Amino acid sequence: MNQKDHYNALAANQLVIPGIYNFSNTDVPLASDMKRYEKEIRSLYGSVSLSYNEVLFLDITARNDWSSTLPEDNNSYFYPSVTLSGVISDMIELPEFISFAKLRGGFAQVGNDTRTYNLSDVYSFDTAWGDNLIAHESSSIANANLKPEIQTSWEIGADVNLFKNRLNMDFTYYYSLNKNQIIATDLPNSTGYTRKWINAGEISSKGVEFLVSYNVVKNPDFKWTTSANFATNKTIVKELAEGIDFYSITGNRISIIAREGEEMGAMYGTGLVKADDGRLIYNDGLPVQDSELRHLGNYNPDFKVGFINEFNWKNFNLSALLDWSQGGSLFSSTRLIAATAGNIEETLWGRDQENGGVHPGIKDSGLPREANTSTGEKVTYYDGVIGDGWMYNANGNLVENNVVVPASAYHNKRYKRENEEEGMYDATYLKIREIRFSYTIPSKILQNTPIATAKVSLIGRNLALWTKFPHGDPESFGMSGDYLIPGVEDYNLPSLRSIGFNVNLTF
Amino acid sequence: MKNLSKIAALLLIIIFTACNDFGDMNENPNAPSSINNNPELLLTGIQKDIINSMVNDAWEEGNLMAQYVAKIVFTSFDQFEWGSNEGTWNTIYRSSREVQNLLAIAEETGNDSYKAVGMIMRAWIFHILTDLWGDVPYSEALKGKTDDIFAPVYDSQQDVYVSILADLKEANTLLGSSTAAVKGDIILNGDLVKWRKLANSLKLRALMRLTEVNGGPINLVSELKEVISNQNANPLIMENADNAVMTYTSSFPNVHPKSEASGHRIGSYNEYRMSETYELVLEAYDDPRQMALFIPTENSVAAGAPEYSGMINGMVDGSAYEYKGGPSNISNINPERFYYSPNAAQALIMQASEVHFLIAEAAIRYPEIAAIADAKTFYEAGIALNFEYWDVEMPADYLSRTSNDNSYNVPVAFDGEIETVITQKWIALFYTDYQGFFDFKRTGFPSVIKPGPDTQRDEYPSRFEYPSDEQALNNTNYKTAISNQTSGEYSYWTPVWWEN
Repeated sequence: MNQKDHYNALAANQLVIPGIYNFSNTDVPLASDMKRYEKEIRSLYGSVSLSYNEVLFLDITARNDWSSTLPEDNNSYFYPSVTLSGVISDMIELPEFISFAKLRGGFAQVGNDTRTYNLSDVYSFDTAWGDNLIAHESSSIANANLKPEIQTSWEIGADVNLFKNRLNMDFTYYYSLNKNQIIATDLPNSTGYTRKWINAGEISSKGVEFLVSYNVVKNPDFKWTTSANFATNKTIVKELAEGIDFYSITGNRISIIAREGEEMGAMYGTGLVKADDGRLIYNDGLPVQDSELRHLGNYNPDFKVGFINEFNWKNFNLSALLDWSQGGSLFSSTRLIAATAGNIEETLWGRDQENGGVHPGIKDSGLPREANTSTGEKVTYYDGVIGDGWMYNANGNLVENNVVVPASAYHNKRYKRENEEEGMYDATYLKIREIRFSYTIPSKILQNTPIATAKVSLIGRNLALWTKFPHGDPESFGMSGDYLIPGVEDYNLPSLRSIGFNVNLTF
Repeated sequence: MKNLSKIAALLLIIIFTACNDFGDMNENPNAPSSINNNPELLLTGIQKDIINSMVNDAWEEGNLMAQYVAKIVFTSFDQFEWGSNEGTWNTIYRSSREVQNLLAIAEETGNDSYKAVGMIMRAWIFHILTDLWGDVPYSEALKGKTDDIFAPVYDSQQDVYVSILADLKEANTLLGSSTAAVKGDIILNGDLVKWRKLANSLKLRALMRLTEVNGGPINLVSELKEVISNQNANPLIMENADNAVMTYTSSFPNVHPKSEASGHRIGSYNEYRMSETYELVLEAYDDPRQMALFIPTENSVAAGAPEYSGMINGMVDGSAYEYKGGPSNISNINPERFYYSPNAAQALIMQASEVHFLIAEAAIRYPEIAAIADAKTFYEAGIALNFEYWDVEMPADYLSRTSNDNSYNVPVAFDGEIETVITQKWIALFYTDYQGFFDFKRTGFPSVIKPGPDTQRDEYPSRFEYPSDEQALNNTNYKTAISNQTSGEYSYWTPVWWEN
């Protein structure tokens, strides 16, 4: 496989005569950008499928890839797979309520290369200064000794159907080991660089997936099938590459730090100074920032469950899909930014008398909290709050905070974007992901038309969401370079609710 | 059949041995892997990054920390919530790494001029870095690629000073003989004499920061004497034509970063106002530089009686916006010079006036320097140079004026007091990165600089916090650095090494 990618761009960023889109009509030097990429993967692939008496099946595949993106002495990687399955119900006599039973086990490897031109550093061009061209050395350190990454997974599972195939169960347990994963780990800027490409070591992942479905009603005219799936996963950093104790990926203010022996997905950030009982300690009525990095949570959910119900009545079909994700942490940039700007409900508190605002004598600046309007009327401002928590008294003891500060100062300080802890939420949610109602037009009607089948459906997606997170969809990702960072909501657009109409014709 | 399998086996061998050879396909055709023949491409990039960072920092932080200006909204910085200033830390390290590449190229090609210019720039920014953060990674820093050091140790601020001074000395020596041309220099246009003057002037700046330090490896007075006494061997920036200042281009994108042409919003520009502190001192001397730097309040102009009025530093948000009845009663920073022109405002690195004040102060403090330099002469020339820089005519009696404000009794007229010199130096260092603040922390002058009404503590802070990256990725060394600098709680108020 050979991939070539050529990108050429020319831009006139300001025009002399508006509306005339011609490169000759440029007011500033034309900006150009040009990139070429080429990559090739050569592969040998073989597969064998064997079956014994139609009850025992063995599938073997083997593949070797050579990638142009890896160092020449390390660019070949071999990855096989073996799957063995046996239909137990056809091999031995089972109790009658078991209609079908199959066991399967598998071993598979998948190899991966890296991105193009990732082995050596270059100087890249930047916007020129007048006639002076500018070049910068790349801020990430390339690695000329990258090895291919290999993911090895083992899996065992069973498919069992009971009661004349009315109850179907599918169970899978898997364990996978990701070796030499190619990542760019963060470096402190004091090294002169921001990232270094490494083979990360060994990351293991294990989990269970379980699917049950049951035909509740099975009539020629009316069918109802209900099913549920359950999935859980735990990813552990087993071993890191020689010379590193941890690696870190920063996504939108949150650092995801992976330490040897710990679970992947630990989120770190900073928060406010708190007492042992968890209440804030105020200084002059305002929360105090603590710059020590603290553990804020882990983005992995405890488990995920999906429910599907499907009803068929004559030509009508109704299906509904619910998703439930339990646990896991979410960091929301939206909350912090909107709160410092006073745009969300949390910041209503203390703005005026109706919202619990207290009268005045705002500390220190001693501004009059009473004023005369242009008509000579006397008004008193009630935009003060007394934050809930402690403060130190003159003797250095913790006492109940009693200092009034303006509400805007309080909210601004508390939700400052540096206080990542104030943007943390439980990411648990329940979602009606999809409801679909369709009608299949009887074939009789279509007899004299060229149409073979016709189906019309009404589809609603993202119809409802129940969650403790009030500022959007907790199922969000942030971005860090090329990585998606789960558990980070970074001014994401709210997910769309869509209601659509679908006509499906076959000829 | 037998032959066939032989051929197949042979084919397999050929396939397996030939498959891994892709020639130079993975060599990046888009960008050069070496720029040894064009070091000017690096130099321009380094200068652009540092200059823009320093201009932005001076505007957003330095001018507030030295109380030249105050904010009317978003006042948390002015309430001493200084944060870690990660951006500046990162720019300084990134640029220094590029300097290191420049030095390597200079070494390889035997071009001492690039080497000297690189060392001067690195000394300039590392000096600012260590003054803002105290102990910083230095000897093991920037070695992520060359030595696989991914967690550099911190060096004491004293050691960093020793290295900076040595670098500046070496740069001065190199430029004494090197004539190799330097291209791509957007600050001093390849003028090696000016670079040499900057090297020695920066050395003077670094030395005079150590007036409160006792003992240690740096022999302050003899080093000062060496720089000041022999202008041939150690030329200094003595006139405005030698100033290390940079003029931006007149068209986008390389215009002044706080100008309208850069896309900077007027609303953001107007958050910053003349401070009451600066106002008090300028008005105490009836100083016409006030009119060059600021404009009368909107309301006073509308009422036909133009008047200057400053903003108080360190007032809580909300109250700040209502101060003196609102923003229309507070003076703006002169927008004709600092906003509407794409490049009337220059990037200020170091000027002749500062050099004169440094020498004047040294002469007041040390008899050995007084023997070779007259404090009064240098002090008065420093004032005149700053008036000249802002293109403001110095009133004929200015140098004999006293303060007309009882709350601040420091005169303009030379009286041999350090506070008098530092007050004029402070006035002159407007918009020059963090220099006004550093002098204040060293000397406590001008004493009108005081924490505002709603600051976190009634005490002026000394430094920024370390970036969170250092905590997360260089934790062991970070912790050692903190325990080396304080036995108590580390904070903005932990003094740096050279502080009084």
